[in-house]
Amino acid sequence: MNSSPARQSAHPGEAAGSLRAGVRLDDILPAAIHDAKNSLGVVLSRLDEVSGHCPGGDPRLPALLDARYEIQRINANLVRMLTLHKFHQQGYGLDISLHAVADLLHETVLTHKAVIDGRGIAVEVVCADDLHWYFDYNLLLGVLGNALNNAIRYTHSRVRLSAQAGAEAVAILAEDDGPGFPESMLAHPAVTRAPHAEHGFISGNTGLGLYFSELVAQMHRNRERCGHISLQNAGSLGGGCFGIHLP
Amino acid sequence: MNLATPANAMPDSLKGLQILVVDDMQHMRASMRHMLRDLGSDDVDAAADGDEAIRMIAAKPYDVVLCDYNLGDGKDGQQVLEEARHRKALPVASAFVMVTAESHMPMVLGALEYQPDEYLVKPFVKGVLHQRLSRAVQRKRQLRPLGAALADGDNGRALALCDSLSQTDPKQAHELLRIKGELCLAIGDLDRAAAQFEKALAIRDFAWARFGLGRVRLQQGQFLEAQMIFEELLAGNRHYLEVYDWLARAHEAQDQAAAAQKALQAAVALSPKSVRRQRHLGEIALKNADAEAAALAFRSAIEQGRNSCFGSTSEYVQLAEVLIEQGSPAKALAVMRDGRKTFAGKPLEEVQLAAVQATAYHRQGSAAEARRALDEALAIRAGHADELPPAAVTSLARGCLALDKRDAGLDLLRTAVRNGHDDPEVLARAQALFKEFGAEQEGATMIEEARLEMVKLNNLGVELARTNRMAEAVAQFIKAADGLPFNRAVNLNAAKILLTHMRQNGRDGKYMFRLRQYIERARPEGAPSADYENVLKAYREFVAR
Repeated sequence: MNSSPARQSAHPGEAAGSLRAGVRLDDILPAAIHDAKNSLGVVLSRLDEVSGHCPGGDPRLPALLDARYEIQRINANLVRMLTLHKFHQQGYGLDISLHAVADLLHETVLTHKAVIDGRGIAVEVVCADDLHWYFDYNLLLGVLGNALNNAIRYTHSRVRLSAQAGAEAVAILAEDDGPGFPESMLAHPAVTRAPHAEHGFISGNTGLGLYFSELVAQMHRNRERCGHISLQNAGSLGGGCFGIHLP
Repeated sequence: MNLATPANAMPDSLKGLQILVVDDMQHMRASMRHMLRDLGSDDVDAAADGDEAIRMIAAKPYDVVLCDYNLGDGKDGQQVLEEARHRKALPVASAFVMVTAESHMPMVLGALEYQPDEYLVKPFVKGVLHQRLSRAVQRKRQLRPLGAALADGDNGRALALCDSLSQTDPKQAHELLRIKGELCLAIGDLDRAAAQFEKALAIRDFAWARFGLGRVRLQQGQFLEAQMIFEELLAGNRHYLEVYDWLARAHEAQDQAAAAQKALQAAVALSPKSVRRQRHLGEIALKNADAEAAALAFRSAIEQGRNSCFGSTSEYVQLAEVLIEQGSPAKALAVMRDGRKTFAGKPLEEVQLAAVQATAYHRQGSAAEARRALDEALAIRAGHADELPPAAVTSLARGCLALDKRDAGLDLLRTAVRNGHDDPEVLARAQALFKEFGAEQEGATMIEEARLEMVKLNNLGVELARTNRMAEAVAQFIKAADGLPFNRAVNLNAAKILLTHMRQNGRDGKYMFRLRQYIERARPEGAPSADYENVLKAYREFVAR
């Protein structure tokens, strides 16, 4: 596998150029994605209605929750594609404002609550209520949603979302007690990797989530510093530890 | 609404909140209703499109409007918000939550009242909906006094409130910084506005703060610096539509009409929906003698105006004038027929449209129709002489001049010139007509007389006030302001005299109504005026005494 596809995708201009080779693909793509997202939204709310009527120990519940989990993943991927598409078109204006970090973490958990409860995972949020930071709230929701989603997938039983402010940056971590990330992933920063099926660190994952997370981190700038992500093993729960660090 | 809830408590349930859901898709509306009901909400209405939403918002004081951005062919969610706020239909403490399909929307950088309280990305679970709605409602309640001051247009009180509120929580303090910057800009306190925006920029490179600073620089006359700020913002994100409007203004200020036209054309290519932007583009294209572009822009303004509260006769009239100029009076007449239908039953609009019809018929050689249209315009005007704005008066004057009613036409122009002696648009329009109908000498005299009249009036006011003959000054200025209802300077001076008089002699019921009216008439249309703001502030202090 040569490395050139990876480099191409890492440069917004080139990727946009290849998109424009298609006839008005720039218009068709977002419209099609929006349409698909609307359908997913309906499926999701229908599923919730059904699972809401299922009694707690219902044997059909796990299947419903698995379906829900996968739909949320598809949706998250579509949102990322839309965002990346905008970014490639040089049209992305960050909506940076001051937010309570705890709000962000709790909302991320709420979004995945059905699956978390259904699988009996213990999720804890560790964050001071008065910790405020400057970031694009909806973009960070996308990043943390991806991180939590992965943690849910690989954890044995526990997941922790936490945030801590340093002197010049806030670090937001998603940790689990699973087997951790494979060595090959820890070695390379995400952006220089292609979001490509063969690079997927786990089958079924294209790496789009990490690529997106890295881009979002880098879009958050303060003075000369810009954000980054980190991947580590043996976090506080013993498994994988994803971090996003925002200046 | 549960008024017993303390202002800073997060409501546990949505019970008691009046909520409007706006979505063009039936199953989405049903799904939202379902979720809201599960969250304890017992008062949920739904609208399927923007127009229905506006009607419902006008009829019921909703606490929350949950509106999808994408509403199909009609208005989008942003237009619903703008129209609801513009019409003052949405209560100040109401929260407007924009539901979007992606994590990024065309952002509103300037006008605070046109900013949604939350952007909620679809799909979302019940818990998230609850958290966001509660948060938005809570924040709106905390800022209710500020919202009320803003809705009253009382910028001074709003600024004072910003200072007293900003100690509470950091998130709010951050938002108040922005509100303060915008308020200072609105009252024309440019130095203070710049200080607010610079304070924000010292924290982070906020696009809204750079946009604010650019507008300050433009109003300070630093056109090139303003232009560069706007260009840099657009280089970062070409979807900041409002920035194009201001970039165009920066170019206009430097007499670069071609560049201004280009900036606005770039904006309408991204989104054609803004009536005001299309109209502005048409007017700039006219300055560039680009009749094709002007006609296109005015036509677009008319089309978009059908979906908007910002439509006006101005785009109809200007399009018709372009078409007449191009030798197509029949096309102009078609536009006017459309306009007459759109503005039927609104006499001030009808006068102007009928007058333009007269001119178009005349150019077509249909003398009888021309005369009939002009007579109609004059007849409607007779009932509303004092209410007709100078732009409509000049249209009527043009009709009279074209149809050889020279004296009537010149009389009308005198009225327009006296009312708009300090309004360059009105003067330019009048001068063009004087030239077209060979009355340049009379026109020049008229304009000079109007100017002298104002100077004389002003000096008289100063003299009477100085020598303490306030009753006489009051009488003079009431006469002047009532005779020139559209003259902002005269009305502002009349307001000042009435205020001074009542401060010395006590409140007088018969002057209070006039005072309010004069201040309303003196309200500047474009750039804010510190002089006007001072009178407004003095009036509010007087009333509060």
